[in-house]
Amino acid sequence: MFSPELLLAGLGLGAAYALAALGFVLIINAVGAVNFAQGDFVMAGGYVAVVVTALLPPSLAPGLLALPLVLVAMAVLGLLFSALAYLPLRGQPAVAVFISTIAVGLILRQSVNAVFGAAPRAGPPVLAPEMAGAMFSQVATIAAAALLVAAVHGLLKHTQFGRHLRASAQDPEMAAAIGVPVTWMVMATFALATALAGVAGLLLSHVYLVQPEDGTTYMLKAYIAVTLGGWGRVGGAVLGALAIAVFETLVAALVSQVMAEVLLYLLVLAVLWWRPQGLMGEIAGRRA
Amino acid sequence: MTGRHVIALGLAVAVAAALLAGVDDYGLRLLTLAAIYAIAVLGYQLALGHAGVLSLAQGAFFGVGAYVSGILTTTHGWDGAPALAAGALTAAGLAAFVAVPVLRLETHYFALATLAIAEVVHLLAVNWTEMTGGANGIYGVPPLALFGFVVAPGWPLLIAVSGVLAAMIALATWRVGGRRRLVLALARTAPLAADCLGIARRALRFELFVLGAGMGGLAGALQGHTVGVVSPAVTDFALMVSFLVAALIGGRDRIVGAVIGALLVVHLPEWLRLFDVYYLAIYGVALLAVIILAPAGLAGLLPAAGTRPPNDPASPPRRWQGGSLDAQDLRKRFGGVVAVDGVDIALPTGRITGIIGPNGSGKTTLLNLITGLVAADDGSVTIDRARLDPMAADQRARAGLARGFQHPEVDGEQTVWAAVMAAQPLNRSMARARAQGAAALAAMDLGGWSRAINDLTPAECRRLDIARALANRPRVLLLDEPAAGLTDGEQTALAHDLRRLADGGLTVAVVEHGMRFLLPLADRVICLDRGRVIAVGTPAEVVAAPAVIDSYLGREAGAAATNLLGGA
Repeated sequence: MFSPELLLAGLGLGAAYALAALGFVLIINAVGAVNFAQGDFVMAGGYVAVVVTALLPPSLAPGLLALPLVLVAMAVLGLLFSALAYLPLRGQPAVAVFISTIAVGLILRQSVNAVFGAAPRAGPPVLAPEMAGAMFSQVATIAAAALLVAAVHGLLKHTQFGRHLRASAQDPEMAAAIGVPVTWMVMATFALATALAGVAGLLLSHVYLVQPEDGTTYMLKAYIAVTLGGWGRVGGAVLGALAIAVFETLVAALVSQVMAEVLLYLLVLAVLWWRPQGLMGEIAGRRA
Repeated sequence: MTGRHVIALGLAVAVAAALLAGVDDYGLRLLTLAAIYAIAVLGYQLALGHAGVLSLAQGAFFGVGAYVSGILTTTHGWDGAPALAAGALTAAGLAAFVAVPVLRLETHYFALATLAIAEVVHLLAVNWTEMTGGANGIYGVPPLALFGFVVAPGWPLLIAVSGVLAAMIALATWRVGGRRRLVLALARTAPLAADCLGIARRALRFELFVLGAGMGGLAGALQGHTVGVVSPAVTDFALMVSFLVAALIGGRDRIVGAVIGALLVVHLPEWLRLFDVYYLAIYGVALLAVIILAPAGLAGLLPAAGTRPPNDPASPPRRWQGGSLDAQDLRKRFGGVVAVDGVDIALPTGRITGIIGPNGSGKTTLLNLITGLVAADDGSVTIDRARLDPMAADQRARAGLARGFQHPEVDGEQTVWAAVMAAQPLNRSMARARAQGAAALAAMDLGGWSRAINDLTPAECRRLDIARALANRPRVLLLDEPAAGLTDGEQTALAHDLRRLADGGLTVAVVEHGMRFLLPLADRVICLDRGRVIAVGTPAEVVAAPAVIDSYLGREAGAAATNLLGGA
C-alpha cells in the first residue's frame, strides 16, 4: 500500500522524467517541433552510462561520476542531431520535422539493438552500493535532477547565452536582425535537450535497467508531461513529469504496471478532450 | 479515362503479367503482402498526405483489424467477408472515437492522441490474454474464405487481395481525386483562406482519417488470413514506421505512391539482408534521406495530372446576387486591450463601403469578427436578416460572405486556374466549377491561367485572391487593404473592377489607408478610432468631420482629401 518509500520511488522516477520533459519542451519552444526521438536519447544516455561504467574500474563506478561524461557525449550527439535532422528542414511544415525525428529515433534504437542486443542492461547505481541503500539513492537521483533543473533555469534566465536562446525561440527573425547567432542557438538547444535526456537515461539505468525498445515509452511520458503541464511551459513540464511518475508508481504498486500505463494513456486522451490547453494553460496564443 | 490511359494500363498489365509468369510461391506471397500493405498505406496517405495530420495509429488500426477478424473467424466461425468488414469497421470506429475530440486540435496533440491510443491497443494485445492469446497471439487463423469458398494461397489469393486493393483505390480516387485533391491541398497549405472560402476543413479531415483507419483495419484482417497468425507484432510501432516509410518513399499524396511504397517496404528486408542486423537502422536513414531530399517521394518523379484551363475566354458576370450585411454591437477584447468596442456597421446591397481609421483602430479585427476568424465577445452579424454570428468561419463563407486578405495565403506552386478551382464548394459539378472559375477570373481581369502563382506580380496575386473569393458567388465581399503596395495604374484598374462588381449588385466593403484609391471609389465611408465608429456618411462628409481630421487624417490631408473629391 501507500508508503513514503513508494512516494520517494515515484519522485525519483519523476525527477528523471522531468529532465527528459525539460529537454522536450526546450526544443518545442526553440523550433516549434515535437522531438519524437527524445525517448530514444534517454535510452542512448543509459547505454552511454553502461559503456562508461564498463570502462572504469568497478570501485570508481557510481553513476554520478559518469554524469559529466554522459552530458558531454549526449550534447555532441544532439549537435549532430540538429545538423542532420533539423537544419535541413528549416522552414518546412512541422510534420516534416516530426518525421525526421522519428527517423532519428529509429536509427538510434536499431543501432543500439544491433550493437548491444535486445536484452536489458543494468547501468551504474547513482551512488556506490557500499555508500547507501535504495532510499538514499533515490534522494541522490532527485537531488541531481533538481540541481540540473535549477542550472538550466539559471542558464536561461540569468546569462547572456540564455537570453539569446530565448530571443531566438521567441522571434528568430528579430533575433537574427540584432545579431544573435540563431542557428547556433538552435543547435545549442538541441544539445542541451539531448544532454538532459541522456542524464535521465543514466539516472534510470540502474533501477529500471535499459533496453533498446525503451525509447517510445519515455518519449510518450515526456510528451504527456508537457501536454499536462501546458504546451511550452518549462515549469509545467517538470511538474507534469513528477505527477505522472508518482501516478504511475502508485498504480503499478497497487494494481499493475500495465494498468498504470493504460490508465495514463486514457487519462491523456481525456485531458485532450476536456482541456486541450493543458491543465495549466498553453503559453502561446495564436493570431488569426 | 482516355484512350491513352487504357493503352498505358494495358501495357502495364501485360508487362506485369510477363514478369509474374516466372514467380514462385514465395514471390507470390510477398506480392500478396505488398498488396495488403498497399491498402494500409493508401489509407495512411488519406490522413498524412491529404488531410495533412500526423497519425501514429495506422499500425494500431491494422492490428485491430487483424485481431477482430482473426478472433471472429477462429473462435466464432465467421465467414471471411463479414469478418473483414467487422475488422475494418472496428478500426474506423476506434478512429472516430479518437478523432471527435482531437481533430480540432493542432497536429502535435493529434500525434500524441494517436500515439496514446496505439500504445493502449498494443498493451491490450499483449496483456489481454483470454481475448488475444497474449504474447503468443492467435494461431491457426483460417485462410480467407469468402461466402463459403476458400481462396487458395498463391494466385487466387493474390488476385482476390489485388481486387480489394483496386476497390480501395477506386474509393480513394473518389474521395481525394479530381477537384477534391486541389481543395484538400488548399486546406492544408492555406487554412485561413480555406476557412474564408467555405471549405469545411474539420469534416474533411475527420472523413479521411476515419476512412483511412478503416482501410488499415481491412488490410490487417487480410494479413491475418494470409499468414495464419495474429500476434502482438501487428500492433507494434515498427509496423507503423513501415507504413510511414512506405507512404513517404512512395509519395504521400499519390495513389501510385502507396503501391510503390508497399512493394518497396515488403521487399526491402530481402534486399537489405546484406546489412544484417543494421537493416532497420538503414530504414531510418532512408526515411531521413527521403524527407530531406525528396519530400514528394518516388511518385513525385512522375508527372501529375493537372486541371487544364478552358481555351475560350470568359466574360465577367453581369449580375451578382448581393445581400445587405448588418453587424450590431460587435465587441472584442484581447486581454486588457479593447480592440473593437461596440461597432455597428451596415453594408447596403450593391454599394461599396470604405472602412478607414488610424493603425490599431480595429479595422482588421472588425473584418475578422464579421467573417468569424476571430470569435466576437458579443454582437450579431446578419446578411439579409439571416443570422451568421452563431456560425463558424467556413459556414459563414458558405452563407455568402467572402473575404480577401492583405497578404493572401497561397500555394505558390499551384497554377492560377487550380487556385480558383480549389476555392469552390465540393458539391459543385466540374462543368459549373469551370464556368464559375473562368467568370471569376474574367471579373478580376486576370489572364495567363496556366501560370504558377509564384510567377504573378503582387497586384496579380491580390486579384487572384479576390477572384477565388468571387468563384464562390458570394453575396458580400470584404477586402483588407487591396490597394496597398500597388502602382497608380494598378490601383485605377482595381478600382474599375471593384466598381463593376458593385454595379452588378455585389455588396463590397474595403478597409484601406490609400485615400486617393478609396474616396473616389466608395459610396459610403465609416471611420473607426480605438475600436469605435467616429463618423459615417458620404466620403465628403466623413473627410470633413472634425473627429476624423483630429484622430486620423490631420488638417492638411483632410483638406487634400476634400480636394480629391472635387472640393465639396
